Amino acid sequence: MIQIENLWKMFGSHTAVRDLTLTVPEGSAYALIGANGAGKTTTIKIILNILAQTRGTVQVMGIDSRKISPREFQSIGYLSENQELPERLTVEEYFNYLRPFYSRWDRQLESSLRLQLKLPDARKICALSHGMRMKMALACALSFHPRLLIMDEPFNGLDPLVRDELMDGLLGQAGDITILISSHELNEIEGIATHIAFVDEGKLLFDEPKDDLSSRFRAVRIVFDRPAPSHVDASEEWIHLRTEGTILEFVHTNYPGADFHESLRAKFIGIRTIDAEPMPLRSIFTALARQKRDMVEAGGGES
Amino acid sequence: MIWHILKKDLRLHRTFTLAIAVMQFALVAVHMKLGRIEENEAYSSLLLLLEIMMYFGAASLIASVVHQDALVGTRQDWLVRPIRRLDLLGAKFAFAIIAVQLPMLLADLAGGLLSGFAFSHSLGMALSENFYFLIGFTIPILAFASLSRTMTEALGSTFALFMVILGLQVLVSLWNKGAALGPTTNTGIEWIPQSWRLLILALAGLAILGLQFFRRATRASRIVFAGAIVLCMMTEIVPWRCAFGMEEALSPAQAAGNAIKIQFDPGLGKYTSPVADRPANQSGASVGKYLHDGGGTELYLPIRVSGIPAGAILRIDHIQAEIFPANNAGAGIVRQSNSPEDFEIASTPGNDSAFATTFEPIKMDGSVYNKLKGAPVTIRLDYSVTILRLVSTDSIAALNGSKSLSGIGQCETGLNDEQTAVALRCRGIGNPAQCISAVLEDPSDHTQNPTVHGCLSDYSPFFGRYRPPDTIEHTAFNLNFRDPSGLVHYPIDGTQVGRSNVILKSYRVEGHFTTLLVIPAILLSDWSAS
Repeated sequence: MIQIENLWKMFGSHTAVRDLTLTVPEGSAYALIGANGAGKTTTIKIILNILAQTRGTVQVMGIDSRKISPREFQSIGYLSENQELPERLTVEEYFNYLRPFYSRWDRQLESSLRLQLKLPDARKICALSHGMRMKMALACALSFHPRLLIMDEPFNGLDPLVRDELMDGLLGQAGDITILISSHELNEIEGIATHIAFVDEGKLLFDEPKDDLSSRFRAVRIVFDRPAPSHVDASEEWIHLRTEGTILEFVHTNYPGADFHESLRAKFIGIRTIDAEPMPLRSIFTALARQKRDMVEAGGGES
Repeated sequence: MIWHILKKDLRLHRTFTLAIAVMQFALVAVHMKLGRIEENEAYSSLLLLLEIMMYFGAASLIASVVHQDALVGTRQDWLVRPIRRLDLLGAKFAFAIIAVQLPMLLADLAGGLLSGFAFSHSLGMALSENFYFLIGFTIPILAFASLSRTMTEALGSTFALFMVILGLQVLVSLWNKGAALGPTTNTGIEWIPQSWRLLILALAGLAILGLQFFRRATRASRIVFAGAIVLCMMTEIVPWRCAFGMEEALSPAQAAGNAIKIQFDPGLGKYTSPVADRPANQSGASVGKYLHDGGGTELYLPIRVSGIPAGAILRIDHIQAEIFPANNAGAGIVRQSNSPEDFEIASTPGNDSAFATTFEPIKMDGSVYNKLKGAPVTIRLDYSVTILRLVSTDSIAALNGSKSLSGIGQCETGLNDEQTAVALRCRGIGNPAQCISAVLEDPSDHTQNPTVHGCLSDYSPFFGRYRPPDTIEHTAFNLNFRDPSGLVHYPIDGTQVGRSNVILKSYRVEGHFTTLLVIPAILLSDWSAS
C-alpha cells in the first residue's frame, strides 16, 4: 500500500528523515513509533504530498506521492492531532461540506459514527473540545470507506474515556482498511497494530510484524544461588544488562527460544532460575529508547 | 465543486460581504449627496473615510476567504481532501468577483444612472472601472493573501511591505535629487508607468496565484512578489525621454508637430507684468501662462511659437534646460526640468499665420546665476509638447445654468460663495476631453473675460481610467469677474454676469513632439525678472 525507499528530508541543515525505507503491506495496521522529533510526522506529510522529499521515492497505492491527486484522496482518510479544521463551520455544516467531495461517502455509516461518537451537530468546530474534534475527524475519515487511513498522533492529549471511544470507533469500522498510525501511546497501538516500525532521529531502527517483534524481545531474569557475576561477556543482542545481588537482568533483542536457557546454564555456574517474559510494546520501546540514550551519552554513536 | 466551495465561503462571510456591499453603495450615495459642487467638508470627509474603509474592508474580506483554505502551512484540512486546486482557485476568485467586484459594479452603475447618464455609458464606465479594480486591486490582494496563513501574518506582512516601500521611496527621492516622485508624476504621460505598474501587478498576481494554488511554492511566490514590488518602484523613475518617446509613438498623428517652430524672440522685450493676468496678445494669438513661485533667480526668455494648427492648443509637458558659458561649452552646465502643468499656448481659429508668444521661466540657483550673469551663455531648452485639437464648443448660461455639454458632461453654473466668480461644475462619464477652456462671454457684443484652461494629467489612449471608487469625472472652473482688491478689472463684471454665457471648448490629444531650442550667446542679466 505504501512503499518508501531511501527517503531523505532536510530542513536547511537539519535532517528530519534519513534514508528511510519501509513497506506498509495492504490490510496491515502499521504503527510508526518513535520519540518526539523522530521524523514520523514529516514522513506522513511526505506520504500525503503535503511536503516534498529531499531525496528518495514514496509510492502510495501505486502512485508516486508527488503525483497524488484528488482521485487518490478519495481513498485516503487522515486525522491528525494538529489538523487545522474550518473552525467557523458547525459539525453538521462540515459534514455537509465534505460529503460531495467523496464519491463513496456512506451517509448511513456517517450517521452511525456520529451517533456512536456522540458528535454535537449544531456546535461550531472552534467550540469543540480536543477529544470531540478528534472524534469528528475520525468520523469524517471513515465515512467514505477509505482504503488507507493515516493517523498522526491521534491519541495525544485525550483522556482515557475519549481514547476508548476513538478506539471503538476505529476498530468497529477498520475492516480491511490499511492503517498507518504514528503515536507514542503504545498501549493503544498495541491493540491495533499488526506491524511496528521504530524510527529514531529520522532513521528506521527496525520494521517488522508485531508478533515477530513480541517473540523476539524478552525480559530475561536469572537468579543465581550466589552473587551474580559482575562482569558478563554479553552478546550484542542483550541490552540493559543489570546485576543486583544474586539477580542478573537484561533484555534479549533476539530471543532464540527455549534452547537459550540451556546455553545460559552452560555459560554461567550456579543458576537457580531463568525467566524469559514476553515484553509489552511500551517496554520494548522504552528499552530501545533508553539504550539509544545511553549510547549517545557514552559517545558510542548510533546503533 | 467551485460552486460548492464558494457556497461555504459565502455562508461563512455573509455579514462581512454584506457590509462591504453596503459600503460601496454608501460611497455612491455620498457622492450623489455631494452633488456637482463638491464643497461640503463633512461629506468630503465622510467620503474619504468610506473610501479607506472600503479598500481596507475589501482587502480584508478577500484575505479572509483565502485564509479559509490557506496555501501556506502543512496542517490545513483541505490539503488531504479530494479538492482540485483549480476548483479551489476558481472558488476564491469567484468569491472576490461576487463579494467585491459585483457590488461595486452595481453601485457604480446605479450611481451613473441616478446621476442621469445613459445606461450604456453608465454600464461601460462601471465595467471599465471594475476591470481596473480587478487587475489593480483584487488580483494583487488575492495573490498577496495567498502568501500568508492568517490575517495576523497578512497584516504583519503589509506593515513590513509598507516600511519597505517607504524605504524605497526615500531611495528614489535621493536618486531623484530630492524630488519625492519620478519625472512623469502629475503629467499627462503618468499613465505609462501607471499602466506598467498595473500590468506588473496583474502578471505577478497571476503568477503567484498559479505558483501557490498549483505548486504551493511559497518561497518562489514571495520572490516573485518582491520582484514585482521593486519593478513597480522602478517604474516611478522611468526617464522622461523614454516615457514621452512611447507616448509619441502611440499618438494618433505622429507628424502633427512637424510644422511647429519654437524660437527665441528677443524682439518681444523683457517680461515686466507680474500683476496682469497675462501679457498682451500678439497678432491675434492668445497666450496663457502661470508662473511658478519659489526662491532663486528667475529668467524669462521671450519665445515665439509658430505653425500651430488652427483651433489647436499646445501644452508644454516638460522642459529640460541647460545653461553653459558660450565660449566654453560643456563647462558649468546647469540642468533643470520644468513641468509647467498649466502652460498652454493657443492660436486663434481661422488665423493661418497663427503664432503665439510667451515668456519661458527658468529658475536658477542664485549662486550659479551670479557666477554666469556677466558673461555670454548658451541656453538649450529641450521641449516636450502636446498638440490638442478642438473637438467641441458649447455654451451654458453663466448663472443657474444646467446643461449637458458634449465631451464634458452635465454642468451647472452659479456664483461662488464670495460672489467674485462664476462657478462651473460638471460631472462626466466615459472618456473625458483632455483639456477644456472656459470663458465668460457677453452674447450681445461678444465681449470676453480672460480664457481659463484646464487639462487632465492623462493622455491615456485607454477607455476609462483607474480612479476607483468614483467613476464620475468632476470638472470645476471658477471664472472671475470681480477682483476684491480692485487691481484687476474685467470686461464682463458683476453687472453683466446675469446675461452672460460660459463658452466651453473641449480638446483632445492630436499628437506629441519634442524640439530643441538653442539660444546662443545671451546675457542672463538681460532676461532676469525685473
